[in-house]
Formats: sequence, structure tokens, C-alpha cells
Amino acid sequence: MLKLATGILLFIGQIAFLQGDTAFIEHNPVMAVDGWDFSDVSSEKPAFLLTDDSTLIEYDVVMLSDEEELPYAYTSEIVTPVCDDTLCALMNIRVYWNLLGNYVGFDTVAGKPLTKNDHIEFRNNDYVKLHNLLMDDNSIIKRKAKKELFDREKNRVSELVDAVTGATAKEVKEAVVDGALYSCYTLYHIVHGPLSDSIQSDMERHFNTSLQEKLLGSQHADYQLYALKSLNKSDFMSYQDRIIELINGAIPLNRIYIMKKMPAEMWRNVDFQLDIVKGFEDFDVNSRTHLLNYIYKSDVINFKSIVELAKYLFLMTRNQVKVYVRILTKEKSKVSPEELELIKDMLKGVNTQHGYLFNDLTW
Amino acid sequence: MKKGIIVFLFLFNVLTLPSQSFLIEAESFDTKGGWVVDPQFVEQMGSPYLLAHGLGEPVENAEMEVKFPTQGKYHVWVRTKNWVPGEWEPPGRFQVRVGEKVLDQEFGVTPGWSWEYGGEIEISERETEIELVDLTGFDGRCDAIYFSTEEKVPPARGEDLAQWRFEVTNQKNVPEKVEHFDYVVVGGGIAGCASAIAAAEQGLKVALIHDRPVLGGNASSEIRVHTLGIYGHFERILRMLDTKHYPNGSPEAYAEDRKRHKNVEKYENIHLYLNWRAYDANTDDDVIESVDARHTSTGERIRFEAPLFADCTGDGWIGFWAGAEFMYGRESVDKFDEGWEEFGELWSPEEPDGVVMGSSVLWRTYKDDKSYKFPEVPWTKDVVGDFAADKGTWHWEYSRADMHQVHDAEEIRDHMLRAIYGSFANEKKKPGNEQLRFEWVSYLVGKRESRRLIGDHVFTFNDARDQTQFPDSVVVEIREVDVHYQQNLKDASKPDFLSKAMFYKTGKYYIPYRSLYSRDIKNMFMAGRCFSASHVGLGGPRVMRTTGQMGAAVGLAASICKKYGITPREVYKEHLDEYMNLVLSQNEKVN
Repeated sequence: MLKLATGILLFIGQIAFLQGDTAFIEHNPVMAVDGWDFSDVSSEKPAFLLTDDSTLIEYDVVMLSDEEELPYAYTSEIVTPVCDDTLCALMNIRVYWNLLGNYVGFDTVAGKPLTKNDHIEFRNNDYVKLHNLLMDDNSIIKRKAKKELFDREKNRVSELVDAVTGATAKEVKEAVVDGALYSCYTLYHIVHGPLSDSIQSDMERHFNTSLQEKLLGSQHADYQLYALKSLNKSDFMSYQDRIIELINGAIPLNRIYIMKKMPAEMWRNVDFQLDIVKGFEDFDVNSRTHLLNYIYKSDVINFKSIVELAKYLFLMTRNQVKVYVRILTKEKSKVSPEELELIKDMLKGVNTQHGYLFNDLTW
Repeated sequence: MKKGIIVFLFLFNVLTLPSQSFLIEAESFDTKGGWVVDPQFVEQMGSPYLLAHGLGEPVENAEMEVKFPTQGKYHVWVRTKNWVPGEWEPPGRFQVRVGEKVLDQEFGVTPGWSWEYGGEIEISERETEIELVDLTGFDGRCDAIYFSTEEKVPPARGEDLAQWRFEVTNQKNVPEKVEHFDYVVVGGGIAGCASAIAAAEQGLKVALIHDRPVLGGNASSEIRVHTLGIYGHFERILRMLDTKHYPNGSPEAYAEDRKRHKNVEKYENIHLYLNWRAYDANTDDDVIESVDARHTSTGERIRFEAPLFADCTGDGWIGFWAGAEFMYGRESVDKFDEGWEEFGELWSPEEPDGVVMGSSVLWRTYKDDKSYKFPEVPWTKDVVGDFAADKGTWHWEYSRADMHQVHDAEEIRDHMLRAIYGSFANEKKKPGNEQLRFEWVSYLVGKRESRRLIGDHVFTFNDARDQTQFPDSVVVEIREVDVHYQQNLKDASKPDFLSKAMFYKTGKYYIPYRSLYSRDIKNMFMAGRCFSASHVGLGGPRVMRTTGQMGAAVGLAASICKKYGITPREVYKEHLDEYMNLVLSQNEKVN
């Protein structure tokens, strides 16, 4: 849920107080990515200092930790010029990243609202648009060089160059805050630039089993994938319960990653196999394909899995039904006569657009 | 031509079959009306077919005069399919008129390609006109019509159908007509055209075989993707073939078609075979001896013999038929060490899979001067939901884990058509869009990636990132490595027909000649998206000026092959200096 704060809230968002020996700011960013809540932050400490070689601007990055003293997020107050010439104002903004260096929110700095060209202050919807831009880790402005966007022939560097036409110009205009192209561009490249990589490197210095389990248990897709990648195939066996949860609840990218990485012995486990199959209805189309393919490839196929899958034939694509037919063909000699009859009866009543594919099935 | 064939078939059938029966291939109708010939999926469903691509308005009837063997009663079957089976009226319905009678049965109602029975009809006059009567304008499709005095349904699909077809039409797979060339280029996209021109300029007698009526492939007015990339050493040749940087889908593509045709056709030693689709590469001891092709409407066949062949088909068909090694799908990140942490699994997965970049079907609308009502399209709802749009762009792209860009191309095209019609219908419902109309919707699949044939060198991401220079660098490019993924992988709520691009910026990079000939088929070049590259390696040079460079480079290599009677590999091993001089000399010829 995006947080639309009032001007007053912006100013009281950061309250400095003392906690133990550390000066501590209560973090309550005006914009935060869904699922990000900084109320659990209980301490902070300087993480590292990064100097931008081209501008010589220094970024003082702070690591925030939770009550269990595990790293929670990173933040830095950014101060950067918004124009190429010295007449332009500085932009002050506090940015938040997660432990992988991915953007998770920002806050304004008391008394220093963001401004557009001609020093017009950002309105609430401008902050929302900036937040949306920063959340897009693959925005069109990521791959555009400054010279491709700004017209240096004109006095105002914030105008799109004439050469940026058609679809690209439209896409850029849709992505950035109107009248604040330069601010957006500059901030985007700070947020998604070397700082981001340095944050992940810093987190990796603190990476241990506790943090690994925290990331694996997280609701955030990027954390899940990072943790999954840090597990070897045998670790998957140790975390079976979480693996099942993730298969059922993760985004398609992560779910497919898990299925590809799961060792054959997990697929061979008939109970585990059935648990996964039961999630078929809620899976996206690509995950369903991978699931069917792995069931087919498994040297042990649970008869109950076959029966369960039949319930979802109405959801299957043509090629998925073909794989199901291959599963039946592979298994038909292994099942008992009673089970075979059960499958035949089941197929008679099946509602699928691709039922004609069963015509090729011989019993 | 067709009438002659029909009479011949009739005689054959009378002599050999107890019943009277004959087959009409729909693509051979004398007058096609508003129906178009679609030969894209021959390898999967058996034949070119007629498509009623009317964008929601029924197209004009296709007509054919037929001479029946005898008067009397005939059973009628029509090979067709319901292309969107579901709880709605099939969208691609049509009827068949035989003489004065329109058969009651509506066709296009059964899922999967099959013979739909049209009942029994009395033929009172042997010379009778047959018509296809489109009912919807929504891509009804007719492969063939079969008349028989015997009530016996023909085989539905696969080998049985193919064999039956040969028998009933008395055709032989081996063409009787044989033609000889120095160099046969299959595929008339930008790579194929450039290759034909480069070889022709060196004096070779070239056959350029293309399965469409217009050259240009993805750049043609039939698909309308603009050409990207740089000219490299071949600016003069590529300027004859490329396009301006207009928006994808622009009708400016027609002017570029005309330019391209004029430029290709001026070479007397380029023998242009438009509407001919290759269907086999006859290979002995890893040498292709000939390629067989068939006219997409008449069914006539020609064998093309030559010492050298170029596979510019995009899908790598010539290599596939010849038994060349190829790759398909995403290699594991470790196979070629192509990881990029920023995009991780989306860029290059830990485990290989069959996923590739998807295909696009472009489309365009305009505001008419009067209101226009678009039909209800309930059969698009489960694809588009509430998504609305008034045009398609490059990121209208479809790839799915269970779909192969070659084997499932028809389903991919059809899914995109549903996406387009549904999104347009939603857009039309918005106030102010009463006059919005389709200007054009392609029915051809604009592919990005399919089979990649393996050469002596596999071009990878590393070659682009490291800007590796090769002694045989014949293609130069500066375009980013640009690999796509489907948006719904990260967010399942996104429409499944939209993609995102991942761009890796790099400096100038080079493709070696060794990526442009087959590792195992001794006399085959490849140029275009089927060149020797990894999945990620293809990301940069898959655009059409770059593939045009590839085509021109192999066209020149073919001339060295001819000069010395050698193979493509021997050009690299024994005549590289001469070849590279020839390539570099092209720079001097820029007007």
C-alpha cells in the first residue's frame, strides 16, 4: 500500500532520539514498497561510504537492523544537484534499499521538498510517480544515456531531445514526473547504480544461516530467490516445508526455479508430489507445464497424483494435456486393473477442450 | 493449372479407386476472394490453407470451378478446425456452397485439425462451382475439401494423412522438375535477400526461395518490424533492403517493400521464387545435394540442385532437414558462462530449459470518419480480461513454457489474435472510440528466436560483452544485447502476451564467419536468427541489419567457395585473407 502522507507528516516522519548509545532515527518513509514496514527497525549503524567517481558526491550508507539484530535494510540521505549548472537547486532525499540493494522506499527531508523545473514543489501525485519509477528496476530510463534524453541546445536541460520521438518519448514521459525529468533520471541512476551493488556486497559480509533463513522465510520475492539460490539441492530436503509453501505461494519465476532445482528424490516422494500437484489450480500456466513435465520425468509417479491432475484437465493447455496423456501412457502398465478402470471412467467425464487428444491413447 | 490437375486426378481416381473421390486443396482456389493463403504451419498440420482474415468482417467468398468425375451423390468433408474451442460460438465459422446449394453444416467448429463432415450432396452437373462462404471475418480456416461417393472419413492428421494426401492427389514427394544453381538461398528475409545480392554481384547464379509473395520477412509489409542495427561492411547492399526507423506496424513498410523488390529484381542472375516453400533438404554424407520446394498455391514442386545452400529460413529448416546440429531454448548459465547478476534467472537460468524469446503479431488502428461497431468477442476474454489497447508494439510478444516457436506457431499466432481482438474490443468500449477501426492486423508470426544451427563458433554473450575480435570478423554491431522475458513471470496478474526487455549495453562487437556455416553439414551457410549463437548471444544481433550483414557475408563466401570448388569451412581455413579482403572491399563501394 502506497503511503500518501500529508505535508505535515513529511516533516515529522523522522524523529531523532537516543536508543542505548546510538543516535536513532525513527524511519517512516513517505513512500514504501508493498510489504515494507520499518517499525521493526530497532537499531542502525554506519555501513559504508561510497564516493561517486564522476561527481565526487559521497553517499553515507547506514544499515538498519531488526530486534534480532539481523540486517533489515539500508538507507542513505542523498544530496545531489538536479541540474548541470550551479544555478540549479540541490535535491535532498532519503532513500531506502533492502538487503539486496533493491529500492524499497524514500522519504523527504524536513524543509526540503523535491522540486521540478522552475522550483515548483512536487505534489503528492508527483511523489507517487517518482516512487513508481524507482520501483521499476527495468525502467526505460535505465538504459538511456543522458545525451539521449536531454536537449543541450536548449537552456532547459529538462526537455526531451527532439530526436527522442515516437514510442520511446511516450514511454519516457509516462515513466517520469512531468517537468522533473532530470531529477528523476539522476535519482534513478543513483538508486539503481553502484550503491545498489555495494549494499548487496555489504549484506553478504553479514550473511549467515540466520539471515539465510530469514530471507527464505520472507514474503519478498527477491529475498526468496536469493535464499533459494544460496541453498544446494540437498539443503532443499532440509527445508521441505518451506519449499512446499513457496511452491504454492511464490511468484512464477521463483516457483519455476524451485521446481527446476528440486532433487529427483523430492519428486520421487509420493506425498510431497501429491502436495505439489494439489496446487495445480492456483499455479500460472508456465508453472503448470513444469510441474507436469517433472511428474512425467519422475521414475515414481503417485497414482493419486494422476487422479488429482485429472481434476484440472479443464485448465490444461493442449500441450499440457499431451503431457498428461504421456503420463498415462507411461503409467498404464504399472497401475492395477481397478486403478486403470478408475482412470478410464474419470476421462469419460472430463471437461476439456482438448479431449480429442485422448483418442490416441491405447489401453 | 489447377483445373488441369483436377482432371488428371479424376482420371487417376477413376482408374484406381472403387469409389469416385477427389480432393481440392483450398489454397489452390482459382479466386481467393478475401481469403489469404497461409503456409506458415505446413510442417505441423500438413498443408497451406486459406484463412478468412477479415478483422471481424466476413471476407469475400473464395471460388473454384470443379469438374466432378460423375454426376450423383457425394459425401463432403472439409478439413478445418475450431481455433478457439470453448463455451461460445466458434469464431472462425464458414460454409461451403456447391453449385447453387449452400451446405447446411457450418465448418470450423471442431477443436484440432480434422475433417468435418458436410453431409451428402447431389451433383447434377459435373462442372460445378464451389465457394467458401465466411461467416465471421474471424480467421476461419479451410485446408481442403474432399468429395467422395464413399462415406469414409480421411485420416485426421500425421503421417497417415500425408500418405493419404499423396495417394488421393497422385502427387509424388520427389519433384519431377529439377533446376540447377550455383547457390540456393532459402528464405527471403533481409538476410536471404542480402545473401542473394552479395553472391549475384560476384557472378553466381542464385535461386532465392521465399514462401511469401513479398520479400523482407519480418521487415516486410506483412509483418512490419523496422530494421535495427548497423550496416557494418555492407552499407550499400543493406540500404537496398532495409527500412526507415518508423514505428513498428507502420504502413510505410509498403514503400520499403517496393524498394526491396526493385533492388532484388534488377539482378538478372537472382532467380526469384516467390510463394515457394521448401520442404526438404536431400543430404548425402553430410552434403546437401538439393532442396525441394513446393508452390504454396498450386502445389507444383521443384528440386533445386546446387553445390552451396544458405539457410535463411529463420527457423533453421534446411539445417533441420539436413540433420544439422542445432540448439533450442535457454542454455544453463554455466554452459557458456553467460550470467548477468542484475537479471539472474531471467537472463540465464541455472538449469537449461526450453524457453525462448517470443513471437510478435503487430497491428494498427485508425480513426475512421464514421462510427463502427466491432462484434462481441467473448472468446478473447480469458486471454485479455479487461486489458485495452489501440495498437500493438514490440512488447506484444508471446512465449510460453509449453510452446515451441516452430511446432506451436499456429497456436501462438492464434493466441496473439485473441489478445489483439480482445484488447481492441475493450478499447472500443471507451467513450470517444466509436470511430476506431483496425487498419491492419498481421496474420504472420513475427519470430525472434527458434532453432539456432551450430557452426564452428557459437557466438555468445561473452563475445559481445568482451568485444572479442576475430580474424574472421565479418559482422560488426553496436546494438545492446537485448533479451526478453514474459511479464507474467514476475507478476502473474500481467497479461501473458506482454514481454519486457533486458538490455546489456556494450561497445562494438563482432561476429565471426565461423558462426555462419554449419559445423556438420559441409555445404550449408546460415544467416539470420538461425545462425550459430547461444540464446543470450542471439539477443543483440537478431535484428535485421545485423542479420543482413550475415547474409551478405555468406553470399561473398559462397563466391570464394565457387571459385575454388571448396566448402565454407575451407574458406576460413585456406582462403581467409582473400575472403576478408573481399568483405572489407565492400566498404569502398558505398555510394
